[in-house]
Amino acid sequence: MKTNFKKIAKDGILTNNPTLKLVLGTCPTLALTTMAMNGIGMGAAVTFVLICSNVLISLLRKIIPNQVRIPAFVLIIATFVTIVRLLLDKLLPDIYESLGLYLPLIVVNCIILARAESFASKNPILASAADGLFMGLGFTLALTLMGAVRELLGSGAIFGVKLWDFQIGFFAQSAGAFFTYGIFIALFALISNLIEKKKKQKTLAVNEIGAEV
Amino acid sequence: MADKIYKFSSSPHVRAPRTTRQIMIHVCIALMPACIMGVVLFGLKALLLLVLSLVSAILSEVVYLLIAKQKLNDIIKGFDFTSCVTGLLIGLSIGVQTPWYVPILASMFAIIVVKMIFGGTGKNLVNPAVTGRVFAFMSFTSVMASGWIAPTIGSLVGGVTLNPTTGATTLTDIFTNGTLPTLSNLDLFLGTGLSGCIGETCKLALIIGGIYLAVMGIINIGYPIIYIAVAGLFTVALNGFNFAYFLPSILSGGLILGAIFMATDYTTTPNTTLGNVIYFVALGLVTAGLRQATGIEVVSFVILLMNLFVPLIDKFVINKPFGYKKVKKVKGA
Amino acid sequence: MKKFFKSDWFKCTAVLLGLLIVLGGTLAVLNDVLFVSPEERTARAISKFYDTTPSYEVILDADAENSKREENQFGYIEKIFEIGDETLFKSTGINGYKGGTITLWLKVVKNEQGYKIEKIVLDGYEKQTLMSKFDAKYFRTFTDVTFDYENKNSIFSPKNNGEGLTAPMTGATYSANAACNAVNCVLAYLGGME
Repeated sequence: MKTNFKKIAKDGILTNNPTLKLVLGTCPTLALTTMAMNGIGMGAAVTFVLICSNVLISLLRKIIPNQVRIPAFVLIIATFVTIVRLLLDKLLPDIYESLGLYLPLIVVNCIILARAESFASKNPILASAADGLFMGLGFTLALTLMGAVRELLGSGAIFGVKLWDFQIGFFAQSAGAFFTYGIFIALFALISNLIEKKKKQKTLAVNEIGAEV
Repeated sequence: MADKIYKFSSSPHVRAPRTTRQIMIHVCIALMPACIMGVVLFGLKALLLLVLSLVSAILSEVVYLLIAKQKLNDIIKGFDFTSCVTGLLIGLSIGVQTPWYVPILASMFAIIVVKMIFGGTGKNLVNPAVTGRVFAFMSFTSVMASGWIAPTIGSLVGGVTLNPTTGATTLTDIFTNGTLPTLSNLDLFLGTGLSGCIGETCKLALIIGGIYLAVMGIINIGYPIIYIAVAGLFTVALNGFNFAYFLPSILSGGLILGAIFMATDYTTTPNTTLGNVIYFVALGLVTAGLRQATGIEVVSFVILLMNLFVPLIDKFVINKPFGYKKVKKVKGA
Repeated sequence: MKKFFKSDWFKCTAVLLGLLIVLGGTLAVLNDVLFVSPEERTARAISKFYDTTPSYEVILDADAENSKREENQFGYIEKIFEIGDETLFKSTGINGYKGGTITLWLKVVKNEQGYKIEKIVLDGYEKQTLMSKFDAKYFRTFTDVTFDYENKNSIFSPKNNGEGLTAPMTGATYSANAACNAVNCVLAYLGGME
């Protein structure tokens, strides 16, 4: 069975975006989107763990019995998160400090467990790796966008560069996090629906022309 | 004959001749004394803030409905003055030192997010005016919660420049420093020389408005009285049963404004009498308790919190069904 | 016998144990390889104050052998480095939320009038939950004050009760207490307080 990489890519970033469509991993989304830079750091860490754990779980998928798959998955994910922690502490201590408590929390980030359960345990290695990569990219994009909006409105800065003094404190706090998240999910659904509608109209028009001929 | 299918519409099924629009106009009238006293005490900037917040509230609703593809004529015909009430309340619950953009943003947030997104009049989950004030407080704390200006009666006559004596409000005096305020109770009642939000300083004006509403049958005057009394009594209890605390605690801060105009909003109060009593008693207790614990003005936060409990109260306090007779248990049968 | 090896629970435990051993071994190796020593952490902290690592004189280093940390009523100081006129302190303040602590690095500059805290960097904390409130702006409130050589006993007070110099933080009063204690620990040491 040939893997359709284009479909996996589109799934990860658009149709099944883990943050905005599947609404998974909301804890880091709400907590870390105060600054756009955090989004990139967290997204990179999650992508790394996703790819590695997906690959390993896909490798071992025929060996791990069904009854212990969750403990096995959690073991593997926790190992990779620890590796990321060690690497960041040694090589990039600034990002390590800014991620703080949320780095160990990647272990229970629902995105990773969900992709392990629903994709990596049933698909070959390369496809699983691709799925990990694109899901991580979708997560990073969503977090960075939300972070940029919240940073712009809540602190008048973007990517750490202060633009103006006008700050609406609401967006820098937790209530604003939930509010922004809700607005983003709504906007994403709106845009997806519009694109779907346009596509349907296009295929309908093509079919009509085809039928007439 | 074909079977007619009847559609069951939602309650109410018994209609009174009074419309929402009339009720809301009465509420606006009831708020007028407080607005006038606010402008008299704080000067023309207060008038500006009130007008800004009123206009932004009305415009937000109209623009939202236009975007939702309603015709302008329909909107004007169906305009119930609920957004006017929200706008005025938000204007009254900010201090005169806040910059001009605060009431605009707060009104927009209150109308669009709290009321219109959830479905319009009657469908809001929480009181929009209260949420607007909480939004403003959370976002602009630095410009709102400091620099309180104490008014003088001559402010309007003497021009716009106020005497910038910034001082902590009486509430902070009582609750953080534990001292009885230096202003007499009459001063607190009339709002002369007391710094605070535009609408909440002159209690006399608010009570006049409240009596007007009660006489017109729009609110049940018992409920705000319960709220205020319970809050005062609980403060007395928390301060060692010293009754000197009773009057200052109820006359300070936004308690009377919140109790009469914000906590009695139709949509966000329980449906039953017992439920309402429970609701207002709880409001009083939580307000007094939180005021003691945090030392800031918590009335709007408490109303917002208790609004979320109203569906719970409604679920557990069930009205007797119409015509229900309790079945007497027969022993030994 | 063969049935035993084919049974479900044996396969499960075998797989889990196998995973544990392999993954645990990898982590142990990586832990050694990627280990960050205390010297490296100190160097990182110093690099936050100076662009190029200067040569410093170690007055006190609690991690070295046979030396203990300097303790007083506000907390303890673990490291003191002197670079010319400036001194770097690694100070920990006690009495935080749930009895926890906050650790700060401070740079103190001495001039003719007295001494002044020039920069504060947060190093770590224990059991504090609201650390996101303590940003660079908060720590700048400690740095604008010069202490005369005569004014040796003034300390920072976290609550607004008018004693000493105040650095208020509403909503996180216990953590502010610990942060103030970390600064006061250094001030007490410099002023000779107990």
